[in-house]
Amino acid sequence: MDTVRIAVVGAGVIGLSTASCISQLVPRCSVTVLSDKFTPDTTSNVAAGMLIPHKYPDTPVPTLKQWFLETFQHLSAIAKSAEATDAGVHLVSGWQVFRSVPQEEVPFWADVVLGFRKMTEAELKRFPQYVFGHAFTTLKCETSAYLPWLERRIKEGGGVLLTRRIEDLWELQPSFDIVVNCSGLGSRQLVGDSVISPVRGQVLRAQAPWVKHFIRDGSGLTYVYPGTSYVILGGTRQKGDWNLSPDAGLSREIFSRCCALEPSLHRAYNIEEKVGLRPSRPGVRLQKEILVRGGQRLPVVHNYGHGSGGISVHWGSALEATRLVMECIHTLRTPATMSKM
Amino acid sequence: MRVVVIGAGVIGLSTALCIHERFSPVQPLHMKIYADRFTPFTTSDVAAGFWQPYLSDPRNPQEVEWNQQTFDYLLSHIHSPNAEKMGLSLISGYNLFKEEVPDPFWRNTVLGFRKLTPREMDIFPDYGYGWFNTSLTLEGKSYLPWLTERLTERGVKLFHRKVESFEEVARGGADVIINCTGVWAGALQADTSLQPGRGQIIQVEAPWMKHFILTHDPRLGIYNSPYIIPGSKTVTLGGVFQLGNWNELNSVHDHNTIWKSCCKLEPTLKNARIVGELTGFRPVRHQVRLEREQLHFGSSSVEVIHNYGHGGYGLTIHWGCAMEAANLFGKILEEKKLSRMPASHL
Repeated sequence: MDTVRIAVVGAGVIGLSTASCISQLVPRCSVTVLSDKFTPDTTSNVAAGMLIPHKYPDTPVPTLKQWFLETFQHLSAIAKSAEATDAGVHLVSGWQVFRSVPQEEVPFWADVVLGFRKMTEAELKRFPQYVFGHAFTTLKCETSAYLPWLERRIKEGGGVLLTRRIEDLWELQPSFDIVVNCSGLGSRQLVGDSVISPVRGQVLRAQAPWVKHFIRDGSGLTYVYPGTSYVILGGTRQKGDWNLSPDAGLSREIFSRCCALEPSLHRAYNIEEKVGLRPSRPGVRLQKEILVRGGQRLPVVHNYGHGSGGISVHWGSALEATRLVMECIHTLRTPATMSKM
Repeated sequence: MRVVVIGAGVIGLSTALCIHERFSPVQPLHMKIYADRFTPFTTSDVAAGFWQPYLSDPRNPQEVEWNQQTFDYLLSHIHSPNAEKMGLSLISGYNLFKEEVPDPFWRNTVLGFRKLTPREMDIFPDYGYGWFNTSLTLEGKSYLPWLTERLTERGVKLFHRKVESFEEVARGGADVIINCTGVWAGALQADTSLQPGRGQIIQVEAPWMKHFILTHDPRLGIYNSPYIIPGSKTVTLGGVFQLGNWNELNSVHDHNTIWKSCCKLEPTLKNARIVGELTGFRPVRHQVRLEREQLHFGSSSVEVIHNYGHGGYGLTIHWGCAMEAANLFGKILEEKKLSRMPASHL
């Protein structure tokens, strides 16, 4: 075949960045993104987009660190360029504070972010209930700008975006040669993955333009993330909860926790509630699979299950998925090896 | 005790408040403020309000303390419900240099002071060395109205009036005059060491900017190099400091210099919408004039406390100076008490 036809299912940050990466790096291919939801209606749109990764039980730390580093470098280059404001990427500094000294005083990502150090006594005075903290500078990748920017890049590269709900990956044959599955929580139904489940997150979007720093409780449950158009106050981690409607009681409680960290937030205004379901899995599923049905073969590259760390590792993940796609193409283009499978 | 404060910039209003807070409980004070400019038309309103003294040690070592006292005072208010109304917030950011420089005298006053790492320097390809720290902004356009509210609550009256001489104020019945006339102090009493340090700034909307970025070029002098200071709603772009220039109009040439150099420093600014442009005169002096003087007009005399000449660090040093002015006021009260006591007690 001359042009490999690639279908990417899912248009959140993982789907769009993988599609973009493939169209940049894979020669002689066409890329089509299919999804029932596009920005601003994806899970990624609710996320604050702060580059602070977390660990997954089943994903090795060196792999995670590599993905985070690749993402950080990729976004740093965008942040310095003329595209920065269109892409919604900017630097932000702040603090992560702990009520008790953590076991791991220096996290695995400390040398990836900028200027990482422990907080001084004077800095900790502002957080009377906290005894330890990190100060550093990282990037914020605002999905409300980043996703549309990725969509534009995909289209400029000749890619196509289609609004379509896929119920079965076999629908994509014979129109496509390779499928890249970035359907997040949708994989539960789409590929029958019972290991992926939602972790519900409720956040508030508010106006408080005087807040210039991020503040995060080391547990990750409470955070204040200032962005270009609003500050995000969070959050919740409700396992197995599929409810997409905001809960007013939870909103009050989130607001109160965030005001404890940053009292000036009492004067925040234009507060909106948002809910997202994190596609949570013990490990990110990033692997090839060949689906077989009635003599037909469909190569699939899975790239889903990033939980609360999607934006933090998305580019590293996209690069790995692209590499797997290239392996699939190589296999497809060398018929001799197929008989050995 | 009849007190007249001349000047309603940050120095006039904060000195008035400090004195009134400290002494009105023990001494009836009739305090008035005379000024020909009020917020938002004072020099303090043009300033970005960023707390940072000059890099070199001040000639008067007391200024080191006054700067520190101001920072500590403001930091203690950062979590108070008043902070946003005062226009007070924390901000972190970068000071950039071409070559290594010694640490400034205020390195332990600000929070988290450190040198920039090599990867951070990569963000600023035109510079070779730098600092990172957390400081504060105190925006004049919020702080001055807040001070005004505190003063009027206390019964202090403000009058729009151009004062032509200390004598006119003394003859009007003032016991103590607090002279906070800033760059125009020379009109009331010649001061050859006071000059305008003209500054021009461009205000833009760039809400993605979360850090201050100040550059320094020792050949050009302080604030003659681009700087970017995000405020609560807009970002201030600047970098001119012209000694002796009394031109209050915005200059196209200065606009172009500031715009080009700031965009070079931070390319994302090209997308920023310009929403304002202002000129102000920093009241430049070799050191702050903060001292007493007794003036005699015929048979009467008046006590004057001078508090002017804060250059480009007025907001940075204002509260320490206000407290020192209050100390001087206290001495005046002491002396007046002693002078009223019957001779046998002296």
